[in-house]
Amino acid sequence: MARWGAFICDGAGVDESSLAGAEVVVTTTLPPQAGDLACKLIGTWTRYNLDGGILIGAVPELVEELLKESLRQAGLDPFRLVVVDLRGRDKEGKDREIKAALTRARHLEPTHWAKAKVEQRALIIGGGAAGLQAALSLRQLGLPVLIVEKEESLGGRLGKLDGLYPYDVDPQGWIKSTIATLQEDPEVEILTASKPLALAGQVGDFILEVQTPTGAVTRRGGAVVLALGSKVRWPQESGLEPGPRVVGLSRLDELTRFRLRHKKVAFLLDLDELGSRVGTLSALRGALRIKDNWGSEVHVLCRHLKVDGKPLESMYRKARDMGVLFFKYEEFPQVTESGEEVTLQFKDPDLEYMVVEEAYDLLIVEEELLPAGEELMEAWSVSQPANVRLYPVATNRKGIYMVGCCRDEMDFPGAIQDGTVAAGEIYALLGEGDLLYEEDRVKVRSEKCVFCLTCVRICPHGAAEIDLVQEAAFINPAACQACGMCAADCPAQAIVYKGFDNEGIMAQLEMGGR
Amino acid sequence: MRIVVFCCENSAYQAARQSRLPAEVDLIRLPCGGRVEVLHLLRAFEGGADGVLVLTCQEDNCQSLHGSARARHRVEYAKEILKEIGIDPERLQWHPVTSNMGPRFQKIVADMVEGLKLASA
Amino acid sequence: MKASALVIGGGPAGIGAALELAAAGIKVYLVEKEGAVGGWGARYVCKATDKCRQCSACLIPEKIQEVYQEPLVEILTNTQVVGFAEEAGRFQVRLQREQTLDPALCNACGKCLEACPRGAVERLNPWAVAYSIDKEKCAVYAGENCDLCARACPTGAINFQRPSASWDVSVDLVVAATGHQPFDARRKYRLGYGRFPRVITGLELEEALNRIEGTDIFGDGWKPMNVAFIQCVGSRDVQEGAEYCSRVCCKYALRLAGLMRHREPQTQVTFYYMDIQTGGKGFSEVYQDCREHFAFVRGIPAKIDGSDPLKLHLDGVSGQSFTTREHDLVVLSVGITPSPDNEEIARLLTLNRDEHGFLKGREGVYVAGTAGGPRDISESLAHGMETAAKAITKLEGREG
Repeated sequence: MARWGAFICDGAGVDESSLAGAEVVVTTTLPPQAGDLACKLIGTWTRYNLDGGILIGAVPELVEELLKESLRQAGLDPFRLVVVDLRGRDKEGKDREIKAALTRARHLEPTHWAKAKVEQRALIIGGGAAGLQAALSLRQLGLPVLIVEKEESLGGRLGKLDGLYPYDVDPQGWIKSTIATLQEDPEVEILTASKPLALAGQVGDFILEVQTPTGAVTRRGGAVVLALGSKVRWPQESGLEPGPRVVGLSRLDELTRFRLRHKKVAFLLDLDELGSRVGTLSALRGALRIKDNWGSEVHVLCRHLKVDGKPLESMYRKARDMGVLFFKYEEFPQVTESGEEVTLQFKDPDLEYMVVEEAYDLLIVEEELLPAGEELMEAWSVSQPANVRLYPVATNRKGIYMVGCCRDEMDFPGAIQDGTVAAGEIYALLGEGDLLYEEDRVKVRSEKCVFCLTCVRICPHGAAEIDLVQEAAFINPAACQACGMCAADCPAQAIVYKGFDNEGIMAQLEMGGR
Repeated sequence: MRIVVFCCENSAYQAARQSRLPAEVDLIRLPCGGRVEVLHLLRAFEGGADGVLVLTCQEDNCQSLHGSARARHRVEYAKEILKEIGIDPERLQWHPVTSNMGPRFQKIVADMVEGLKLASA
Repeated sequence: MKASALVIGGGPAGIGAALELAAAGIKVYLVEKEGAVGGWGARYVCKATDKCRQCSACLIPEKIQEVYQEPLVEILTNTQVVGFAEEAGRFQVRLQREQTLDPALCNACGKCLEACPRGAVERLNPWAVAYSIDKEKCAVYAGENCDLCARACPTGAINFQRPSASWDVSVDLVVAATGHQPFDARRKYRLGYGRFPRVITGLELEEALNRIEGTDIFGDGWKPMNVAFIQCVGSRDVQEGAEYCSRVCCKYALRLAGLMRHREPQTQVTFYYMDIQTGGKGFSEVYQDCREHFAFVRGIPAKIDGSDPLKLHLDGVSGQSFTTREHDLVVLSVGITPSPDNEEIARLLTLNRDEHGFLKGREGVYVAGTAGGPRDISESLAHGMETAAKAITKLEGREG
């Protein structure tokens, strides 16, 4: 027989006879002071060697959390504290509420915790700014890293650009010195011209297979950072064709390295209605460079000037001071190419919709930036939809993080922030050396499992696996985030969710209560 | 009258704790909307509930990504069954309620009470 | 890691930093000058229509819970930093705690709330563990004799005689997450805020929509049907010395407008704007929805007449030299400005400020969230996490 304690908050107005249940071995009144609550609760719990407790009364919301934490610290099971809130209930309601709590308590089982050693190393896929920052921070935190880069050298897109970014830190210089630091570090393994092939395992112990120029290798790590970068797409819908007079924004550095004689240059931004902050940033940077290098006349055409980032507004002002002209358009300009010139005709709302017609000898067009590495994410069942609960770097899978422009449009400080945050999260996860998790919160009863793999298909966290020996599904407890979706969907009702099993929910339904 | 509210612990349950609930409301706390089964919904009616609410996160805001959507689908499915067995399907409803929306929780419950009163009158 | 940290400010950035530091095993003192943690974000409304609009307001209660559950974080409300000294890379900080209302004794029963005739006892947000006393409303702070709330309190939590406590803590690092101040719309005299009751700020609309379920925002049965949102009030404004974009206003205004229409489908909305700032994953959808249903006018009204309906005067907008337009409610999208406390904080912690007055961090003393520049809720949370991660990195480097 289980031993339960009933803890009644002072002033809850409870008739103790409603507690008449064989399991309740002690009934105590708790002091109103929140601080003393915990002491008395834990004291009584230990003295009477209770299996669980029912806390009854006018409990402010967060006290419940405080008490649970105190229990955890005292080595007692916080999941076995049932809290009953009696506010706003009449006598009859209170009785019903308490009976319901007793029912709930009967369905609680003790929690079993397990500890697993983790691989104290992070596997970073992608050696651009965000990936490099993750590596750098992790090294400073004392964790070894592996960097897998598909190109011949590290640095990513920013590494290929020429200077001029008005940040506190110069991105190009930063990338060079960071690469140098990492290359010298014996605890950093860098695999360039390499491609990740497969990922197995779970948080704390991932196994990554990588195709290197000299053959396939396997590495283990406790966490994975996806820093897959972005890819550029030409805006075909605009009807524009790339050519000698019409080029993409991504080719800007290539162009400005030469002393060409473009007298009049236009930047055409926001082709897809919204455009991006990063596109505007690149265009402003380009406009300033072209002014500096060539002294050309420069126009920037956009729908909305993006200024919602630290350097944008100041760059805009600087460009304007240097004589760059800014135009707005609402309807997409008419573009005509003839010989040496590209002519744009548009109506500017800021000029009272006056028709503007200008001819340029170079038109630089903002391309679309798309996240790279979708195939990889699909193969590894990693996703990061626009969901605030995953913001900024978490994914659906525990221990796998996404950083940099593969998750959202991003400037240099954004990439640095992502890398740093991911490193912090990984340090919290792996820094201790072992991982604590609930061993049996969600469990497959293999004798009931018909191996239909519904759970494997639907688990949003990649925690449902196939156990070929048992010929049953298996919920990986380290990867499980305890949502209970598999338990709800299992056609054979083979999956049990402790604390939220069908019997418990049905009993609650029968008893009512909150 | 009895109303059973299935609440996602991450969202609607938090909202419920900020609301003054009428006496006829029973809450069932779930770890995620995705945990709810058609069986639970039908059993609630079988147990004498006049109305059943399934309140979960916004669909794009679910900690478990698809949990809320699954809850909504199950409610739709259960409504079909209710129709077949002659129970007004409007007595079962799904709504998204985020954790900071106590007033919305209260309104949804009040609307349900109101609707049931009208239906029984 | 055996180290300790002081986090000043219990908004999203402070909470984000505290949680991240604690996760690395660092003892955190989370100091909040108000009676409850949560910050501005705790007052905001969920802006979901039939879809989540990613405003992140719902993360606040979750983060508050998380931080209360974290044993390494000691939450100190009603507390301020009053002294600060640096010694061999560590910081000696003197904290002062107002103890009229002791949160350890308060069990939020609400008896004081009922007892106070002036409405000076409040619960700052629904997640506050304890009540707090609004000094501006309270009779005692106005020099009068009153102890109604103290007498009503069954636990003795309120005691006006109880002196404030001060004590020293020694920490390895400091995170200043002291937040921002919304722009004071009264400064834009010609827009009529403070003079015309139907000219309100975006913040007031947030709070009103958070209290109620419909669009009866003044609680008198009247529903706005023709709403104007005026963007860039106190942002990108040379006159106000705010030559920066506040980054959050376009997003909150578009979301709030969407929410009003969702609650009352007949509501018409017009945006007066310079440029719409729509960065960030998933936001393009929100903007497209707004484009479909709302009017967008390029240009900021120069003046508003307090007539009924309100008359907005525009100069050189949409191809016309001078025009007027009528709306029954005007919402001013006020921007983020540096907190007036920044000067004092900078002096106390020896920090620099940028050209706009936002704080800049230094070795050992980090700045997180809107104290350092405009950010929305989730960006502040992320920035708090980043700042903490940076601080931990530095600390590890020092020890290793």
